[in-house]
Amino acid sequence: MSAENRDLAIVGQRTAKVDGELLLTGEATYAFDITLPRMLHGKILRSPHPHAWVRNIDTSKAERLRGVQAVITAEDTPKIKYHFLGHPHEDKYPLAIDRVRFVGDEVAAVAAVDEDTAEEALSLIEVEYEPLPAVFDPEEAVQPDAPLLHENKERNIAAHVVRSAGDCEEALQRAALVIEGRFTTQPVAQTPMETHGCVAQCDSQGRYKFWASTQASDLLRRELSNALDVSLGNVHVNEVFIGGGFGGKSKVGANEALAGFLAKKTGRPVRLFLSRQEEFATSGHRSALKMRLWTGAEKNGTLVARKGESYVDNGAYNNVTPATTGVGGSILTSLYRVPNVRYDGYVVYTNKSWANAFRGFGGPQVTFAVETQMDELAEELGIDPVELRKKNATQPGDVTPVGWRIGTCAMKECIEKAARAIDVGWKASERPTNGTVKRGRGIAGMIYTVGARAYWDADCSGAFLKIHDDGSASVITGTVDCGQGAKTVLAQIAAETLGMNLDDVRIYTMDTENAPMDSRGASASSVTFISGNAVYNAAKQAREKLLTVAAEKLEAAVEDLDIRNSRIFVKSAPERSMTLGEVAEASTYRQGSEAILESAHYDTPTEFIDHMTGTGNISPAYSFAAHAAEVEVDTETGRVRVLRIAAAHDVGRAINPMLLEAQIHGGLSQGLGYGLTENLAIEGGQFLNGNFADYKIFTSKDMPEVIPIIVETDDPEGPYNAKGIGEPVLVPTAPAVANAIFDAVGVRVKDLPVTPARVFGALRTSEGSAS
Amino acid sequence: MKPFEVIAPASVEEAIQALGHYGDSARVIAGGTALALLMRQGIYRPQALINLNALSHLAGIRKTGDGGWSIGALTLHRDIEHDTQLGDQVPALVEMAHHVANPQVRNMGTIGGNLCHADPASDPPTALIAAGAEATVQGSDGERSLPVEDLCTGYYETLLAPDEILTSIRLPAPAPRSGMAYLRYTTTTLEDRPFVCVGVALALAEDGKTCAGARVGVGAASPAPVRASGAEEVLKGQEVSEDLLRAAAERAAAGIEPIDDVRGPASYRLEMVKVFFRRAAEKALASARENL
Repeated sequence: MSAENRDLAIVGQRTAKVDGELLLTGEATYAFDITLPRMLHGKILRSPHPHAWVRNIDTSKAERLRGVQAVITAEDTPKIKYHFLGHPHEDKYPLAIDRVRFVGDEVAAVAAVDEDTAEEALSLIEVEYEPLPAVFDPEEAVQPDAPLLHENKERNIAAHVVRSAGDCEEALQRAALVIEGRFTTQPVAQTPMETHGCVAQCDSQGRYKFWASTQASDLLRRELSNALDVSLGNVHVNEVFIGGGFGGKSKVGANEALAGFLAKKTGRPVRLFLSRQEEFATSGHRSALKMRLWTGAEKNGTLVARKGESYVDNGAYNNVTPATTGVGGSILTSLYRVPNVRYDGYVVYTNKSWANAFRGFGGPQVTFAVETQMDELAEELGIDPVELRKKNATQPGDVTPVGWRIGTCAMKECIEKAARAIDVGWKASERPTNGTVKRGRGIAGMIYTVGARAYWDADCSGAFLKIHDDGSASVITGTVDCGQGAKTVLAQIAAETLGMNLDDVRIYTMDTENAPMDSRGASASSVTFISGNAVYNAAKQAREKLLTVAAEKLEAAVEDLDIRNSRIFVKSAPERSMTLGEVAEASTYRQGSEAILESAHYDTPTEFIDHMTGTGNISPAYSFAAHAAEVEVDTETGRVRVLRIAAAHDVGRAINPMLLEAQIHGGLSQGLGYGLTENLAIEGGQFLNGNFADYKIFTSKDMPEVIPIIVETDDPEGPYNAKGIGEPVLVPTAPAVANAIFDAVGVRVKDLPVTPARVFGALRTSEGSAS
Repeated sequence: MKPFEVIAPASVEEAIQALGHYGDSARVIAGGTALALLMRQGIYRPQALINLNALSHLAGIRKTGDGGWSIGALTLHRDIEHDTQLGDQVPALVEMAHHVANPQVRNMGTIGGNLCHADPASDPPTALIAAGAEATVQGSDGERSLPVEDLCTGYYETLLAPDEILTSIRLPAPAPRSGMAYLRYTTTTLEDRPFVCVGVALALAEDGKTCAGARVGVGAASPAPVRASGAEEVLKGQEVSEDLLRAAAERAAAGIEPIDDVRGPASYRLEMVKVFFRRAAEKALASARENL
């Protein structure tokens, strides 16, 4: 849609969440809260071995336990690989067949009258394992003598992702300066408050119903119909409240498929939720990678080449890591203007739990490396780091090496504003010199997509809109509000377009039987853009019909009318007006009545990704941001305290600045955890810290002062000119902090998280080399 | 969780009897903040829990005739945190209690449960060692008392016999011209368990310069908190100086067999013991000087 010229009444307002009262009182019904008559409780038996043959499974004792209704192994299932809908990447069954490949691999499942009984039944299943040699490091797993995890996957390479443009080697040869470095990033968990889980039901007609904690109900339906081997129409995913996802719930999980099998076998509803420990250890995390990076530049700081090579820890099975590695490669080659680029991402199987999507989808890892080298480059060339970034910043009209056609873009402005907010370029003389604690400031930028035509040739969502007789509206979309506030933003878009009071709009989501098609749910930072456009289009159609009915009644031309506060009036004589309720009644309660029932479908005007080269203009718009951080480093301990973060985001336009700032606050807490404290410790395939006591996310006590800066560029394609915000909020955080640490104490840690021990070690090393 | 019995003894003696009956398949429970986690994770599966919460005489903080204090085993961390009298005399202990876990845990968890659970990454034992605390325990053979540094022996291990129950903790009156400090250091978030923690109580001689005596506790660095008597010896009878504290810090670290875990490597722990010993000693010294 084009920029609206008229004043906006609801879009741009800091309205409270439309479901705020329900969330605050606890009335909101999550999948976790669903109980059904005769409901059973499911539990999963998991492999204790990182790699082993499964020689025999004896379920007889478990089956005899009082209260147990079903015990299933792979033999009770259709044995369909379920992560990829038939794509060659597919390699995982809901229950292991013959072989387990990580500690936590699903081996059997039980449904019983209560959780304790199900738990006890698990302990009665006798599994005969024959342990196999295991490998845990992606660089070791590609060695010729490493144990292989999958047939036909030589050197354990699940995928080799390439991004290439120009002549990278030649450009690096002739560059005035090349910065080379090795980086490692760690696995981190999404930690939603609600763990993965669902209630599944299968009736005697073979129809399944699911109440699932998912970010993508329509996709879940497709994946479940595949996994359960039933037609799409026989799977119905219902609407529930979602307790967070952060990417981890954007695809089907074993829990959902297993609950389905158990429900089918027992004929009773089955509830199956992961424990917190299972959530940490088996539901997928952000992939860890080991990476080498080269950045080449001219003396004046102009970037000429960037080359990256990563060994990405896929874990034991393909989930989204081939895709996140691709996005990482695209971001690595598209961040700042670089003409000659090359990226090789090796996605490598290891005997660990598989990596999943996590807010940022491959972006945070590579952005950390790229932005660290931008700072190193500035240091080496004696150029101010802010100026170096502005000089190389992406600009409107650019086409990146992977074919991203940049429309609206305020990267330069984001860098300027974030830097200015905390005075990143401060002089040495301005710095406090209080003994052993030093202060520093740093900055990092980022580029990100808004949606992505990458899974398949679709990036779309729809909306149904009904005008009720009282003039209120219900809007049904297939997308998901997983806590980010999508319902509120979509209601604002509908209300603004209809001229309706916000309270008069009700939003329904997720319900796969009753909502229109939705290709991806809440992922790729795209709900506002894609579902927002669908809602806008449906509302626009309804608005026209309302105006047509009113024009007849008010004896005025449609173009002379306007709608505000749920009332249609003649612009030149506002006292000539009707409420929307009166208009709706007038439309329906008459001979030849017409109901106002609209539907709309929005598909992004993008190109399907070329899976060989990764090129294509996959996103209808691109987001930009810069984070600037101020830190304190205790030089005696290496401990870092983040004092302030300025987060400048080019969001197109803010539909709801309050929710947008909330996204920034929440995203920063995850970005800071990624940078400083979070790390899933896995040793010999075993999780050492699968709980909140030992896996430390940032709390309110640790949060710095947050300075959100909203930069508006009015994207012509976005609904009310909006782009996206969901993922960008954490992408540049870790490198901004790492660069601030360098500014404070002159050491660079290139391994995440930047722990006190690592800073301390780097300080000791630099002292050693200085003396 | 498998079903288990809950026994509610009306006296310490009954509790001891029950422990004697069940042996290792039962535990006493007070706040349950640690035990319930172990049970939920299936690490501990009891036949019975012996709920001490009816024994209200085991809760509370009382001043003793010798100017010291008696803290009942069932006293909540929250009660220590908010005890103004104790706070006047041993502020470091009250401040320590303020940093135990979070308010929810402090409202449920007890000081006795904390000591008997013997989690190495915990605050109270180390502070109590510096404060010179002794644990009073009761068993079928009667009552005995032992210093806190002797009570905890390793990862979740204590010197308690299977049928013994910790009933109270005795704190001596602070020495004249003394001060105490307790510092906890976390390597991740602020509310994390300590990576290392150090308690130092330091008394000055009448000259206000010489260290008359010191007690040093070092916790979270090794499988059990330790009393750093080597460091105490370095300090005792010497004029306090930067060099002396540095020498004592080296001694404090020398006695530690450091843990290597998700919170950080062993070698770094030793370095942090030195740093936080010195900082705690400086803080204790400053407060001792105020008491001159």
